[in-house]
Amino acid sequence: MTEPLPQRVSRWLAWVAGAVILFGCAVPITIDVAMRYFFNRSAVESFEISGYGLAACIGLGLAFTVTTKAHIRVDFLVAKLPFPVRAACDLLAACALALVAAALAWFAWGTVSQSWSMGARSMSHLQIPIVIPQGLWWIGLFWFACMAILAPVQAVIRLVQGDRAGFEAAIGSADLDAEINEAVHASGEQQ
Amino acid sequence: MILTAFLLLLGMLLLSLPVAAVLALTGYILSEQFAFFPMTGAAGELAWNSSEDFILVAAPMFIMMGELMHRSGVSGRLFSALTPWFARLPGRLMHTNIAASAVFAATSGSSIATAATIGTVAIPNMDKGGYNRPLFLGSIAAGGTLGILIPPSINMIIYAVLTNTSVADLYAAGFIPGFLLATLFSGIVLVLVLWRPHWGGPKIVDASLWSARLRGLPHLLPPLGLFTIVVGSIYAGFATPTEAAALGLIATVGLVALNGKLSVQVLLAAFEGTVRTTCMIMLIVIAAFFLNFVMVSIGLVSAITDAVLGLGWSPLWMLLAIICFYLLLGCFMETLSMMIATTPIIVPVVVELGYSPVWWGVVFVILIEAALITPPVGMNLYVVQAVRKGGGAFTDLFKGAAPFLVAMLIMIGVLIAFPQLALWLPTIVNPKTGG
Repeated sequence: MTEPLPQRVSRWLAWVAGAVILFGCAVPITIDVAMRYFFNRSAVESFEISGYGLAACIGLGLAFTVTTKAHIRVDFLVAKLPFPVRAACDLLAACALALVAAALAWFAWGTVSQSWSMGARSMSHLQIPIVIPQGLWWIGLFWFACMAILAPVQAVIRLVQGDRAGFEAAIGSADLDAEINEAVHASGEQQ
Repeated sequence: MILTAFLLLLGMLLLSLPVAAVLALTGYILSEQFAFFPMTGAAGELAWNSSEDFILVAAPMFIMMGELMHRSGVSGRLFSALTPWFARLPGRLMHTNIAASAVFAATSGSSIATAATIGTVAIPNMDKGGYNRPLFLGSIAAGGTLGILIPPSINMIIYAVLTNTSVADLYAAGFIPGFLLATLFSGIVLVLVLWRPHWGGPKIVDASLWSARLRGLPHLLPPLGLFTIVVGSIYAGFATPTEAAALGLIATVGLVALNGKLSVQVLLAAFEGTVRTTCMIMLIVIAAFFLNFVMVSIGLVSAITDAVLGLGWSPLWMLLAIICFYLLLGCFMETLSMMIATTPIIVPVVVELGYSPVWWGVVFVILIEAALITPPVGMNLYVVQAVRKGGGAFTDLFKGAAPFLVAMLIMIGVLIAFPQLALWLPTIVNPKTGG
């Protein structure tokens, strides 16, 4: 089964975000530690770069948390309720996340546009224009907001069409079993 | 004001809103209600600053390390290497579970990964060895929780950032209590098996025990080597905790490659797992920073501290009340979000009572470990139950985890009586700020 496009894009972005952590944070930091140890000087300003790396990872990866329902909810009570009430809670939760995601993208935009208008550059001797890492971060946050808004809309459409399973798959409680199975599966493969 | 904040938090949590949204919305409503000027203007700046925090960079790298270790094949050999060492001790393989968890914990910052990994290799031996099932399963679930107490610990990094304490101090402080707790777990198994000998399974007689012990030793090297790289580099003074995480991650990639397990699939799966966990945590962290900013600005933190101190309870009673609160909350809430959500509120109170934030960090992490094995929401119990493929009653796990919960409470009691157990090592490794 192929994934729908928005989900697939979110997954690709998550791969990029993971690669950023490995190649954009861990590798430069290791080079710097080694350079400092052997030659007593740092080479690649990893302190600054890895911070941008984390920001990029967070921005680009957040949409993936929506499509894989990673956000923690205290749902042991709600899970026991009949479907209509539970569905209302699921919908409310999805809307709350969408609201927060949209607000985050909105306020982050303010920060990015301020850096742009001031032409802010980083303090180090790299003097990177701050809008470059912030812009990357913001693009991710914008996509996160789109996905977070799309999820409840899609869920409602499915519910109207009478597709309960589709509704649950979109915004229902995180599937604990699936998650545990994944962890178990991964450790089983190694044997 | 306190009541409003409390009701908002509790109400939205019970409605099953995502934790990050609960914190952000509470912050927003509080600022609308009580602030003289809107605080949301600072939200973008706060989000950016916490997104590029250098200390927090350690978190995804440790998570990725765990994701890769999980798939590296190291744990199976580690387990068989440790097994002969406990062959003569009553309770045999249960001690192996705990020891393997402790060693694996020293390379992984995650409790769930530890429990899943050790459970997968241990459980097939449970019925073969004739062990008491609840106790055997309990030792895996409880052993797994050591992952967040023994450094490196992801929880401690986030605690350090939220409370402005030093990660190096916290790691040093967690070291002795971590291994003491592992010993306590083993002690409890020993006592129970001496009391009910059939729980420990029949004795095995194996003449070649020593050669098996020695033959297994090389398999202990990869995890111990990683531990040395990550923790040693911090205290040898040539790396900060974040830099140590980077070294550890690169070494782990090397280790996986050496084991012939490095492939594009493995990397992408590790990336997905890492990004999913990291972003979920970081959204809560960003929301918590915003809520914290609002709470400090409107004077809520000092109001809570004053109210608590106004009760006139002695620090010890207050501390015990807080501990009970966490034991209760831990039954119902996912642990990491519980930690991030409550730290900004509780830690100022604890510090005001005269306790060290580093010491509390250790006690807090043990409370979080307890939360991982207390039903109905005890993640490690579910993980172990899932690993146990043949099925069986879930109540086995409650029964089996109970003795280890007692061990954790004993450990907390010991730490209250002898705070130096946690605070001594930080003063040695870092005389300026330690303790």
